[in-house]
Amino acid sequence: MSENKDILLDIRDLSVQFNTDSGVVKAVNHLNMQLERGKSLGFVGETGAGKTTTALSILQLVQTPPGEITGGEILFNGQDVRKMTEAEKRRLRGGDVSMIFQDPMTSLNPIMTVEEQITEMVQLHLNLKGEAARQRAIEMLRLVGIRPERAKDFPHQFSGGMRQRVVIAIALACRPQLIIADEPTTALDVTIQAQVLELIKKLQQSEKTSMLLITHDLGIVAETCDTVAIMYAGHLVEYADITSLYTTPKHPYTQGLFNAVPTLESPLGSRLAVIPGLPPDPTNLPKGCSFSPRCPYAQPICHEKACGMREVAPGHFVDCHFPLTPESGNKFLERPGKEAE
Amino acid sequence: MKNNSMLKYTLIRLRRNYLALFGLFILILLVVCAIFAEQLAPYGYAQQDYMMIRKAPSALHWFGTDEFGRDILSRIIYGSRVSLQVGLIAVSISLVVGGLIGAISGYFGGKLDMLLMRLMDIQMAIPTILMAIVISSVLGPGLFNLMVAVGITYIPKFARLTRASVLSIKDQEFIEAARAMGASHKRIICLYILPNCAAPLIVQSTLSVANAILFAATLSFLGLGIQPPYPEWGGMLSSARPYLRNNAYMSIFPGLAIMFTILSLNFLGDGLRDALDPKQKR
Amino acid sequence: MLKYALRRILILFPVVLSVMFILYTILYFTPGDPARIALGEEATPEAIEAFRDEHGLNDPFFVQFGRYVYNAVTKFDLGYSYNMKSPVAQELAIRIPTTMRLAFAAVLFSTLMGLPLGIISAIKQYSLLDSVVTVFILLGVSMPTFWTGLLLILAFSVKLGWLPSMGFDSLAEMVLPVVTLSGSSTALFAKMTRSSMLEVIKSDYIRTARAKGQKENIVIWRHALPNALIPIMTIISMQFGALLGGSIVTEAIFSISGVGRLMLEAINLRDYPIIQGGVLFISVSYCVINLAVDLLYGVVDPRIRVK
Repeated sequence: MSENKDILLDIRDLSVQFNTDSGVVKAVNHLNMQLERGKSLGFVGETGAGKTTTALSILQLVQTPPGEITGGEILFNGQDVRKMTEAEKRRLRGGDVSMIFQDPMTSLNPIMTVEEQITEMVQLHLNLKGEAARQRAIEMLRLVGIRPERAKDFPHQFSGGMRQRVVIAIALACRPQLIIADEPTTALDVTIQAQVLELIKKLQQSEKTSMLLITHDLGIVAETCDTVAIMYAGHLVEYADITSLYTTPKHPYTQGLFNAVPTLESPLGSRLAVIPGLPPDPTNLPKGCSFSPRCPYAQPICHEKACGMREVAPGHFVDCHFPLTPESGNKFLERPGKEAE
Repeated sequence: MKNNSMLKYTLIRLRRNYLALFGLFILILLVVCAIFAEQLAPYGYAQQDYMMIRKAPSALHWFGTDEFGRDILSRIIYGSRVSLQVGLIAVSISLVVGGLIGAISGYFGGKLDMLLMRLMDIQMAIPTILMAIVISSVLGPGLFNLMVAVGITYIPKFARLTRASVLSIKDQEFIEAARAMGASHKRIICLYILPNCAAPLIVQSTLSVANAILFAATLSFLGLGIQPPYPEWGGMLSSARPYLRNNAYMSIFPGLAIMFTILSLNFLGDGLRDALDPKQKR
Repeated sequence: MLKYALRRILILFPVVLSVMFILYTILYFTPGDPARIALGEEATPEAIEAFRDEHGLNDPFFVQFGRYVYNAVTKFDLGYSYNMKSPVAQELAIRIPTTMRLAFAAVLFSTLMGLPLGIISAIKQYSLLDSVVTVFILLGVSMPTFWTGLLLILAFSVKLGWLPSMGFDSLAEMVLPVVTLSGSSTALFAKMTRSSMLEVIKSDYIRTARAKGQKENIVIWRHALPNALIPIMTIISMQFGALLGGSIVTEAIFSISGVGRLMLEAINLRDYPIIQGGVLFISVSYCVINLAVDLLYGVVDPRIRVK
């Protein structure tokens, strides 16, 4: 990866596992990822791929028993988060890096007013007290479209979409350099989804924050992000800017993901082209390429040896021995129609 | 078929819980004592020996003797029969009556539900000991009356539990589907709703047997319920009171019996709760 | 909020009335003629009949019940005990303060001991302290109150001689009864607080609080604890009823002349008016306490407060 860009977040060879009674769950495996300052990165993958764990690792909020970071570095502005002192970590959380969690119904403290939850943030990082803190809180609420009269209301008095706006207000209150949004719209109605996404995008651009958007929805990524990273079985399999990925996806898994989305052009009566099989068992990952058991393009070497991310086009990285080309076709569609069982 | 695999799964999880296994072991011990009391007890429970009044534990009498020269160990063994009887029968009464009330209340809803739940609320306004005392004083002393009294006091608890389980499943769509296919109320209740309530009711029953035994012991201690010479652990503690100063052992062993019984039932109940809860994260 | 409070207070009256009805009915239909009890075994049938007429015992059931309720509500007259030869209300009034002191002291003690134990063992889960507390909880819930009392008397009165084993007047006399009565409540509170804390600590909003960069101390004490304690309030108020009932046993063991001991004597003597009055009093107190805590709940939990 090039050196002359302004890299805000640099994850190097990160591995995280969970020690459970049913075995060691390898959630994140030798993950490498970079995010440039001011840009937004879409972090795409199925449920259980390890995206949230990665995000929590950045904030050092992984539950330590049973979780464990077994290797790698997480460099934020050049400094390894893992080596920070407790005080430095607390300054990082909320001050430099903010997180928007997935479920707005449970992410807010039910017995604190919305205003109090924002002022707490502001008091911690901006050192504002009393009236000044309150003013900032009201300002943030206004920014996300909530009237100041509602500042002293409690979370249960707001709808899901409004609560998510409150969460966004809290996240942005201290002007962090990086926002991590973990599936911020998954728990919301489609119509509200659009509103919230637009809000996030607008604020990101006006405040010039970098963003890591975690999602499983390729549509959202297309609208809001500059670059995309596709995650599978705990590590990246493809990384590129939006245009390259969407026009020339190079990893079979990425192609499979695009296939699974029905479009207006799909022929009538055709079946959904799903990726056959299931994601691998994280306690028992396959030898070689972790996608090889399900890959219609797999060759013998794929089952033996993993490839590793390599740059096959400018700024376009793939973890595959045989990256797809326009001539490769679409072997997912050629498979005799196998429905998702 | 579904029930078979659930049972197997539950047993596997239960087996891993050492406390629950310990509880089960003690419980089995008690049941054995209760059934084979005649064979196990070295002496009869009413067998008095005037030469051995209030003797401390010795080789002849492992737990010592009481104020009538009766062997305490034997009385404790026979006492297990009484305690288990009371526990099981009282809880059976509560389970059947309370479960029925709760099921009807939850399933049919409406005014019937409101009425039944109001009745339960009113009963819960009277603290359980007092309720049991009132019923006991009305019915008079004796083993059977004790069981009925204790049984009645636990009815609201089972009613509420059953009602909550029924409500949680009643509105689900597969019940609607069954009705659409013409299933009768009776069929729906027996085939679909009751199995869903089974798990919390099993747990509650186990814990309630423990409570019922404690309760019965308390009532016997107060002089209601079991009458001498029939041995009941609470009653034994009551008669041991005057001799606390010089014959402390008389107060210790019956109490230990009660404690271990309750402890083991609690372990078992908690273990069952953990094993039966599918959402339990291990 | 006010409407909520009013509604809850109004419900109290039908409940109390129903309790009175149930008690009255149960005891009305028990065998035993109050006239015969009052006048003794040798009374003539004429005397008995006269007595019955005089005291309205031949009136229909509902008239008698109505009279009872009317007297109770307007004059605090709960009937007359023929055994003790004095009004029920008077006998109760003498003993109520003692029992109330015992019950409140027990609640206070259980709360002050149980809650911190539960909180700390939840925070330091899996530690030695947690294990000790868990053992204590298990024992506390399994040991019968009367046995605990006997053991405490054995240890502190008989063997060590530090504390008296009877009465409830001096501070020293109060120690053992209060500790005895609190035993299982303390264990229960510790257990419930511990599980409530553990559950709250796992919530999403606690994770959010940490993600804000808040100090762990503040996350636990200012975010987790208030949320965890809300359901405990209900448990404490419900336990009050159990404590009022359990006072019977404690008063019996320590020879304390409170309502509980009065009940015990009344049962042995078949003194139904006293039983009725005593149980009624305890039930009403229980309802009132529950109501008070319910209202407090409304103040403390914004989800209920703002409807």
